[in-house]
Amino acid sequence: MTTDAQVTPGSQAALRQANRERVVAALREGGTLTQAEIARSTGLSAASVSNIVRDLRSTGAVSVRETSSNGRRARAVTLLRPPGVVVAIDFANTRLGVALGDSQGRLLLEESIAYDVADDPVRGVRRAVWLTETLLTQARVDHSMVIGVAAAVPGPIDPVSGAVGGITCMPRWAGFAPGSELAERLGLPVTVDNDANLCALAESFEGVARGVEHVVYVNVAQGVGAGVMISGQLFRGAGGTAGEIGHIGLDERGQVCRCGNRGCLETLVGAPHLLDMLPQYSSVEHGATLEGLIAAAVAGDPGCRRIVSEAGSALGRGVAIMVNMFNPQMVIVGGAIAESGELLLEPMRRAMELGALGSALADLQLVQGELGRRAALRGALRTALVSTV
Amino acid sequence: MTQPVLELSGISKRFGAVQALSEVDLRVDPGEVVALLGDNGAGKSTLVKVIAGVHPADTGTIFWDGRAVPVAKPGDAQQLGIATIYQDLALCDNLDIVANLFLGNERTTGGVLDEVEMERRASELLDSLSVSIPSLRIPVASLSGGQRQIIAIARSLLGDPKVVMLDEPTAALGVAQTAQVLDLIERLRDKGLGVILISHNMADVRAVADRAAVLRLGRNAGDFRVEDTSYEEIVAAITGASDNAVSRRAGRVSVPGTEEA
Repeated sequence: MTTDAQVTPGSQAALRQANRERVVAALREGGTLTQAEIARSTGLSAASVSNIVRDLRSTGAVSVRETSSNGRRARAVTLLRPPGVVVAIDFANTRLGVALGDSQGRLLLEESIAYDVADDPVRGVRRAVWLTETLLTQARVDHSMVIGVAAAVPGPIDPVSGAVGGITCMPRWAGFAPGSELAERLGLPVTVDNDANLCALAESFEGVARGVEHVVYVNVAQGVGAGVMISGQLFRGAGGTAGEIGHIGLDERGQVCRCGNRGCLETLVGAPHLLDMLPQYSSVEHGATLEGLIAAAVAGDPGCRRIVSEAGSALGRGVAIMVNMFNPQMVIVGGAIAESGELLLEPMRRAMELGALGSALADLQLVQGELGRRAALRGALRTALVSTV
Repeated sequence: MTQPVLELSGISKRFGAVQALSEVDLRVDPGEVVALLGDNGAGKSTLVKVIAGVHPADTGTIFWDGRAVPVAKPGDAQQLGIATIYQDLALCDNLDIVANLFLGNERTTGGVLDEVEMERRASELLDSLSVSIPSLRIPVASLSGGQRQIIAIARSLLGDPKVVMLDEPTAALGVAQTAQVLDLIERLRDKGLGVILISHNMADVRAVADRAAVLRLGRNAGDFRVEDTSYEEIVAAITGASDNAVSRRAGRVSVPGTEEA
C-alpha cells in the first residue's frame, strides 16, 4: 500500500534536508547549544543555521531560549523531539480535509474545504495536494520535513494494488489508486486506507475505545462501512473489503442498490436514501442536507425522528450480524447521523437485541464516536506516523 | 493540435527608456488554464494590459482564432471576447450583487430597469457556476473576499467571453476562499474558456493550471506543462537560475560526449 518516491539527490530540497540533519545530529550529541555553536560544529553559515532553527521551531521540534554567551546575546537551542511532520488527508464525498501533525502525533494545523471529490479522482487528488502544500506553507514547514503521509478514502482499498474497490460511494474512483497518484505529486510515500478503518484506529487509540481490544466502528455517511479491530489489530480481509456491511441484504423487496442487489443496508441508512424519505410537508424542505434532517429530528420534528429511528433499527439489524460474528466489546457509531445520539442508538440497540445472541450482547457497549467527523483524519495522522517507523 | 483561441507573437512594448516586453510569445487554447508567472517587474501586468488593449503593443501581432486582429483599445479586446479581472475587482460596495453584475449594462423594459429579468439572469449565471450565495440582494460590502472575487469573475462572463484573464485572484484570500476561486477557474475551463492566470502562489498554479508561461525581464523564459514539470524547474525559470553565466558557457562549449548529467 505504500509507494516509494524520493527527493532527487543534489536538488535544493535534498541539500536543505542534509543540512537540517546535520543540525539535528549536532543537537543530539551536544544537548543544548547556542546557534553560534551549532554553526561552528556543523560548518554551516550562521544564516543557514538561523533558518533551519526557525523551521524546526515552527514544528515544535526544538525550543529556543534567549541567553548570553561571553557577555553577548545568544539563542540556546534544545532538541525536544525528533523533527518531522506527518500529513493526513481525508477524502470525503463532498469534503476534503488535511491535517498536519508533529512527530508525536499532536495536531499542528487542520483545514477542510468543500470540494466535489467524488466527481473526478485525479482532480480530487490534485486539490488535496494543493491543500497540503497550502497548509505546509501556512505552518512554515518545508516540504522536505514531511516524513509520512496517509490518506482516508471512503471505499475498500486493495492491500496489494492500492486501488479503490469496484463498489464504493464514489463510483468514478473505482479502480483508481489514490496512493500512487498522491505519491507522485507530493514526491513522498503515501499510505492509503479505508476511512472506517482509520476511524476505528483513531477511536481505539485516543477516543472512546481506548484500551478496548475488540472494536467495530460503523461509519454511516453516503454509504455504510465498518472498521473491525480484533485484539487491537485492524482486520482488513484478503482484498481489503472486510467490514463492507453496507451491502448486507436486509429487505428482499426493498430498493435496488448500486451493487446490483436489492434492499441492502445502505439503501436503508445511506444519506441520499434518508433524504429521499423526507415527507412532503415536513419542516425540512426537499434538497436539505443530512445535517438539516438530524437537526430537525433533534428539535422534535416527528417525520425526521421517524426517519432517524428507522435508520437506527436497520443499522441494528445489520450490526447484529457483525456482533454474532466477531463478538466485539464495543460498537461505535460514527458519521454525520451519529450526531442524532440516542434517537438513533436506542432503536438500534433494540434491533440488535432481536438479532444477536444474548451472550454476544452481554458485554457489548454501543456508543457514539468521541472524535466525531475528525476521526478519519486523526486515524490517518496516526497511520502516517506509524508508516515512518 | 487545436487552434489556439488567442496567440501572441513577437510582442514588444517600450515605456520611454524601459523595454517592458521584448519579443514575447504566448498562446492559449480553448479550455486551457495558462499560468503567467514571473518575478516583480517581469512584464506580466504589461502583457495583460497589452492583451486587454490598455497599452497597445509597439510591435508584434495578436491572433484571435487564427487571424491577426488589432487590439488598440479596451473596447477592441472586449469585442473579441477577452475579459479581464484586475486585482481591485472594481465592484461597487454599496450596490447589491445584481446591480454589480449588470453595472453599466443594465437591462430595461420601457425605459425602466428590469430588475426581475436581471435577477433571473444573475441567478441563472451563478447557478451555472455552482456558486451558492445566500441572497442576490445584499450589498457587495458584506461579502467575503472570495465571494467578491467570484462576483467579479461572474460579471465578466455576462459578455460571453472566450478568454478570461485573472490578475492575482487568490492573493489575500483564506484557504477556503481560495479553494472557491480555484473551483470557479476549473469550471471556466470545463466550459471551454481559455484562462490566463497571474499568480505568485505556486501551489495555486500547480492546482489548476495546465501550462505555465514564465516571463523574465520582459522576455519568454520558458513554457512548461505543469503536470510534468517539477516545482524547482519552474522556480528556476522565474528567478533565472537556469539561465546564468555557467549554464550559458556550458551551452557554448558543449562537445558531444562530454555533457554533464
